[in-house]
Amino acid sequence: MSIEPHQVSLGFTRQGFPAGVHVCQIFSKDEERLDAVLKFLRSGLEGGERVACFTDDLDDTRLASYLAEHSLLLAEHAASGAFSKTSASAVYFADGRFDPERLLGLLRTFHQDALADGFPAARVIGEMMADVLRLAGLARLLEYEARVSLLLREHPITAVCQYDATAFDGATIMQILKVHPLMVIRDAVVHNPFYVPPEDFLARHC
Amino acid sequence: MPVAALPDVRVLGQLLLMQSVVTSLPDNSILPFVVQGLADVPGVMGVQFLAPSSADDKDATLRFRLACSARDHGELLFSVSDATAFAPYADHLRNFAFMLAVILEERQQRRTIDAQYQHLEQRVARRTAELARERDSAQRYLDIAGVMLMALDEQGRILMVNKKGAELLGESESALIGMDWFDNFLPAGEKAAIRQVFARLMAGETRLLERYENVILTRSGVKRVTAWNNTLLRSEAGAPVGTLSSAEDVTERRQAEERIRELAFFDQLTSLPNRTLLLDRLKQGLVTCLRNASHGALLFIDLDHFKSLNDTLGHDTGDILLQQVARRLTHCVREEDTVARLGGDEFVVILAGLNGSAKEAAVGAEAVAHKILSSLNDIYHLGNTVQRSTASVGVTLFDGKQVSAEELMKQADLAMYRSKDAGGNRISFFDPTLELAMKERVVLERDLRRALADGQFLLYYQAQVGSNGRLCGAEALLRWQSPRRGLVLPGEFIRLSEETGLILPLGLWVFEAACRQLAVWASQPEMARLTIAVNVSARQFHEHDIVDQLLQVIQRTGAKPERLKLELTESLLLDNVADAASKMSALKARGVCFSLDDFGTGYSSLSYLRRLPLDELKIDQSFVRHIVANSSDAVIARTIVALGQSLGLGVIAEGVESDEQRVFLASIGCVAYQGYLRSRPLPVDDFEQLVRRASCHA
Repeated sequence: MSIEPHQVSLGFTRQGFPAGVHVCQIFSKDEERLDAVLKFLRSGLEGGERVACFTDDLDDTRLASYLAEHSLLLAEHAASGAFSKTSASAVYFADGRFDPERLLGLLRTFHQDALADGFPAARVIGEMMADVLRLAGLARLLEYEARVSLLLREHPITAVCQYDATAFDGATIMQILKVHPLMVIRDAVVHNPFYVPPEDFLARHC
Repeated sequence: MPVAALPDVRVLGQLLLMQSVVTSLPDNSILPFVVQGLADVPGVMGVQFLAPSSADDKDATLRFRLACSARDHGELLFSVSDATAFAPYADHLRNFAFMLAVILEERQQRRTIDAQYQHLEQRVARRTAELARERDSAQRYLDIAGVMLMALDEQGRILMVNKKGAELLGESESALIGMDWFDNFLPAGEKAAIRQVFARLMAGETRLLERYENVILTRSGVKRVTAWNNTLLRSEAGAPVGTLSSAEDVTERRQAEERIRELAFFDQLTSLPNRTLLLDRLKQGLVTCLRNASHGALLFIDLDHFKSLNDTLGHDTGDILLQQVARRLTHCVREEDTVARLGGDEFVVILAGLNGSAKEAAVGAEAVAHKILSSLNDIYHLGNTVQRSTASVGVTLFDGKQVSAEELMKQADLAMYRSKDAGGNRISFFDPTLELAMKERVVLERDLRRALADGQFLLYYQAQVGSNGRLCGAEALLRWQSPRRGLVLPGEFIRLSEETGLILPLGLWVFEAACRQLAVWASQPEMARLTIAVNVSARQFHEHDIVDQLLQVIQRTGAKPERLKLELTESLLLDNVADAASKMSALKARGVCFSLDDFGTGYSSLSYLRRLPLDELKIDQSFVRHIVANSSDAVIARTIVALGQSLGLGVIAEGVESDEQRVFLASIGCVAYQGYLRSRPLPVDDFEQLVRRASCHA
């Protein structure tokens, strides 16, 4: 007997996706980034999921005001454990290092705890900082993203990775695309034709 | 012929995705992103970008020029390792290259526009700063001006005002801009008129008044006198679009001038005009009298025994007394009159515009002089003491002819000394004949009051012949049997009675005496049918309760009202036709008849004749006197008779002295008459005998 995967909305369109998709958003304006964060968080909370946000910029007032317009009370969701917000720098560069192993463990635990706490699914959105290239290099970043795709098969966290096109150069962005199966382009979610399955990618590059 | 392989949909998707993504990328990321992505195209070993005008020493299997709008954005150089695998994508890549060129061109144009915009922004900012500096510089020039400078637009709103103007108006410059000048800074009574002038100026309907002074109100409501110098602002077409004005606050200057004027023309102790201003006003008064053919009076007033009061109570107390005298004098006269202090205890009053003859002017002046004496006789509260004082008044009249102002002052002064010599607290006229007349007037009034109290008045009766030619009644005529003056006719005392108000008790006495006579006659068969006509004065008839007064007399005496005929004059009725009609109707309802006296001498309007319950018209004796010889008098008499007939009124003529007059009147339809032809006014006994004789003859 096969189990139907949990269907989720990413918040950008009405289109449904199986939980555990790995999405990349390339943005060049701050409004685009924040708009995506708000929509993704709202759809997750509306779906009863546990949601986490790794950001250095989104302030609680703006988020609370936005959610209130959609009849969602941030304080209640934070108190129930459905919502958490953490500094992106603190998450990705704890101890001043970019450690994919730790991050993958963190994601795994996040998903397990969510299910244990009764949430039907979990999602996370985070902005990857350009400092990662200085601290770990592009190869480690791509390896991390590929392993995230593998992890999500077992722990279907719906994840959106945000990349600032003004902070990463064009060639790097093309490389980053190759490790994300889905992309958000101007509020549309599309399958990425550059996507290289993680097994192939890791076999080729690691 | 080899069959071309189909392109992989995934590769085409990559091309499409790249097109979408590059639009979100920064300029410098586009080509690295594309070059990296195109390396995934099957058959491609490597991709390079060659910028325009770069040295072309690159090895490449295929080149795609990135060209759009004749602008060269460089080339994409493909190193192809498998031409067969690459072949299905060549055209797609050419299209992709073109799309990329369009995007690059658009970015290039945007950069150019941004640069131009930035350049323009910098120029605008530079020019704005320059203008601000120029404006600040101009504002500094405006601000250092010692006067208020202000521009108004064509609606009267403030366009510009300098610092001095803001200080004067009591508001910041920024807050003043746009405010309506007329609404906010002009006294309430002047706003509308000045705004109207301004509107006419803007419409080109009136000329600009370049210089004037007026009073403005500051924001805190303080009045300031400002001297204006105005220029008209015009559009390029020459139409008025506003004004530019400078205004100087001259309040203090004008106050100083006023103070100088006060010192020059006003007495410092009492604030009254001094001798200089008095003489000036007197000269003006002389001119006015001459122009208007009217009279004026100069009253010289000197306090009696002021010197001893001053010596006893001290100069300070004396000064307080003089100030109180000044106030009392001011209250005794009209606003157009002048009260002045010459110095010491000497005051002068100029009464202007006294109408009528010299004697009438003297009456008016004497009345004011009495008022002054009475007012100055009241007690004075001088600090802790209470004092009485009297004054001596000298009066001289002027009509602007021959006598100078200085001469008049001497005359009034001399007259005042006559009052002083006679013991003070009195009035003397410079002209002895006027003074005598005034004295006689005072005596006459005193005698009249005594006559009323002592019953010195009596009625004479002048027979009236009715329309049947028989004696039908009499007009009661007042006589005064004075023990000192003998029998006095009304012409000598009626006017004074009216001026003093004595006419009211006197008129009522006449009415009551006539009613009593009617009651007496009612018991005598030959007299019982007679009527008595009684004259009622205007002042008496205008008493609000005259109807009640007359009815009470009728009731008290037992007279038959239908035997009473009240003679009213036209002028009396015309003062208030509605009121007269109402009172007449009330009396008419009780049987009293009405005759319109002196008919023909006044307005004689048909409209009011119809509204009044009259019984008879009386043709005035002035028409009767020459009725035979003067055709116009005859025409008037004929008209009155016709009018009376058409209105159903009786007509009687008075002053008929000859049979010729009677016959003429009878020929035009007026048989009733009164006059010496039938009988002069007679004492009641003589009149009764006349009636009895007439009855015998009849």
